[in-house]
Amino acid sequence: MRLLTHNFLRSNVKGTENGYPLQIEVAALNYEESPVNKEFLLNILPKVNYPALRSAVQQISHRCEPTLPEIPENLDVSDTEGNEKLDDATIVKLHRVLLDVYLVEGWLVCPDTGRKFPVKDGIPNMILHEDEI
Amino acid sequence: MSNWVVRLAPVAVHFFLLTSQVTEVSSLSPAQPASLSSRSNSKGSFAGPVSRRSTSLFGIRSTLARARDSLFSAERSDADLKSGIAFFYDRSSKLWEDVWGEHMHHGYYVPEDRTDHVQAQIDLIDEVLKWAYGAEDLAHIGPKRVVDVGCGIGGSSRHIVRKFPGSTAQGITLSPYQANRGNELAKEQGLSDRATFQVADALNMPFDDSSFDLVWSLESGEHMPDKRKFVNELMRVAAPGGRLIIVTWCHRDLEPGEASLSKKEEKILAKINRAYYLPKWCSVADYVDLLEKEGAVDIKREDWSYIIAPFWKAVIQSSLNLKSVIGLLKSGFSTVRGAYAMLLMLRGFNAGVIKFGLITCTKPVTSELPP
Repeated sequence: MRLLTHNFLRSNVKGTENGYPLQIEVAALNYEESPVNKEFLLNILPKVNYPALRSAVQQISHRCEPTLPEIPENLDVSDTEGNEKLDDATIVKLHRVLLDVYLVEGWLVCPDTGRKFPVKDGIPNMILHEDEI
Repeated sequence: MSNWVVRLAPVAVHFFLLTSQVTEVSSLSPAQPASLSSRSNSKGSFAGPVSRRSTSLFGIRSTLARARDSLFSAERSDADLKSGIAFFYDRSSKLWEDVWGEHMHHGYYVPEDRTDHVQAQIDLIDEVLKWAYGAEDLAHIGPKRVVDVGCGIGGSSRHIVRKFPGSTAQGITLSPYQANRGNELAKEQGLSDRATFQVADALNMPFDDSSFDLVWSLESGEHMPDKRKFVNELMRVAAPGGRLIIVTWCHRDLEPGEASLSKKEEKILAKINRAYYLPKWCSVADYVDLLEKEGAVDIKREDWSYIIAPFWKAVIQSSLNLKSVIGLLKSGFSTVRGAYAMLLMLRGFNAGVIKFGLITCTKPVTSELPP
């Protein structure tokens, strides 16, 4: 599960006020570089919740070999013109962080209820139990 | 293929099913779908033995109970349905993919006698999109964020992101096998950054409100036990101005004055439901009603039963060769039963009770929606 996917997932457990963003507990990470597609990145950046991405990176970086690149502290991703002006180095860093890191085994934790959603073989299982609906 | 095969096959298959059901259960491996995790009766425990009550898939007592339920075509509980769906697709997806490829839906049979079945399945996606968006050249429309509700092994998702540049698709399925296979195929096709799959429940999607420009449900609505909740969730995750496309098996609309289908019609459906892990069916009119209540606008509906009907004959014929039969026998009872149910589907279409329905609508842009 990439951080791009994590960015869109939330917890819907009954009684959750705000099940986003899910906290990440790492059991196994994978890092595999892929070709950077700037156009694709510029297309999806406006949809990304940037603070959630930053906090996700912080939660997993200690477990990542090699170390994850530093992405800008603040970025207004809704500013499409500003995004176009980002330098190539930053684009590459954003790509690596969003698309090249995979949580293979671990947990996604609801920030409200503490409910843990397992991630197995890179696939998060978000199915709620009968008593959580 | 001659009619006598279609008529005699059920007799032979039924006998085989009865004998194989017992042997399948005893040979089932302990690897269960993750969605079961071990429920027992406690709240929140993740370890421990599987409960031997209704949701257990093992054990002689539960086998007999299920055989009895099978015989009487009893409706399943929602919990059994969910675990059954995951189980069924975990087991059957590989065989389907081996014979039919990555698309787990009907084909578009225009012309009626076309035999390029995989292309027909791809064409169905394209034709549905054309019909829904009402435009020949869809490149201009370009949804950017797509959710594929009940995604199978992700055929639709991958096809759609290829079609719309810059788009991404999230697919959800109850089956861990399918989610995994979906991700594998995405990787093979160089689309793993654009199409991702996770295990989740369509009735409780792990996505924020208003997240997607296109909410796509191709032949998954049949599995949803609570159609109202299903429509509610589809509308919830749709962005204002976004489109919903629902393509699903329904029963025929009821005539004015009719309270329900006939007993004979209900019986066909009940048997199919056992085989395919389906809850009670509804009609296209029911979907339209539910969408209206949710505040959807520009609701359009269509009946493509006649366009997809040749698909069932093709599927049945494809299962009557040695490779498929061997594959079937290896996949176990539930898959064989699914194969048998194809004959029932064909009967249902011919009898006019089963319809292949299309419904599309958009979510209004105004922020005030009816409660």
